[in-house]
Amino acid sequence: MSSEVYADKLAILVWAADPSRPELCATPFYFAAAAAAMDVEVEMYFTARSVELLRQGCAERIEAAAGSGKSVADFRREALALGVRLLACPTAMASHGIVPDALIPEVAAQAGAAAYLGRVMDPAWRTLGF
Amino acid sequence: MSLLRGCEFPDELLYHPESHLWFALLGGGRYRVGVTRFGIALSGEILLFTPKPTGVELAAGRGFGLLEAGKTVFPVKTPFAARLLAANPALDPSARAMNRDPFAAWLVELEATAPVPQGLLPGWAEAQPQIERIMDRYAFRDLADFAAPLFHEDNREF
Repeated sequence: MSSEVYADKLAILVWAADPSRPELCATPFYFAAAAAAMDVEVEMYFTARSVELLRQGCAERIEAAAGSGKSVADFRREALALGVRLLACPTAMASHGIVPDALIPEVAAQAGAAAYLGRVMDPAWRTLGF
Repeated sequence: MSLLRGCEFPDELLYHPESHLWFALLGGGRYRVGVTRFGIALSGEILLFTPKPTGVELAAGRGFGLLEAGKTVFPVKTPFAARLLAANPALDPSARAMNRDPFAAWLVELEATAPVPQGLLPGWAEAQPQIERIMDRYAFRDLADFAAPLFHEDNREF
């Protein structure tokens, strides 16, 4: 089986994993890192309250699992180190009072529903939602 | 068998220090590949190994699989252009055997698809000083008292 059979682009929508459900927040980054580690090009689209995970100081205060000593920001940092791109929904930012300067500098761009839907409809991309 | 800071390193194997991989030459350009004891110590307990599909062709530096170690993931990459011939069935579904005996619990067999660059896979004598420098970088003094780092921001090569 050749590598051309498998897609090598993944767009992840992060929607339900937000600071009100801290136990959910590390998983999207873990999956993104795993895909990137398998040489997949990965984009993460943060919308709704999940965009808070890109606000400076937020993910740093969320412990990934009780007693782990590892924050959600640590998982995010590992995903970034593997080349994962983080994208913030501007509509969600406006809804939650997040100005661009409040985002972590590693956010690649602002991108909304149409951008993610473009990935969904593009046969070169696979998609995943959290 | 040599011992370095509590980690065993079989003398007959070849090594790629930067990625913590060992290589056993099977002949005909084929290699069996695994992770060193030092590599396991850095990763923390290994839980899962997911190889890419058998037969896939990989450029040098491309991953042949993914290790999951509880709190983080590591790509494992071939340092030379290769075809993935086989994955170790003993690591399916659990790769925990790697923690007990990393030199028996090999990951994959690779076949070089181009000449392997001279010096890329040194033997133990040449590899030892390189591995020791890496151990120093991690403040790894002895296997017995080393705790795996919680995250691996700067050293994603495995």
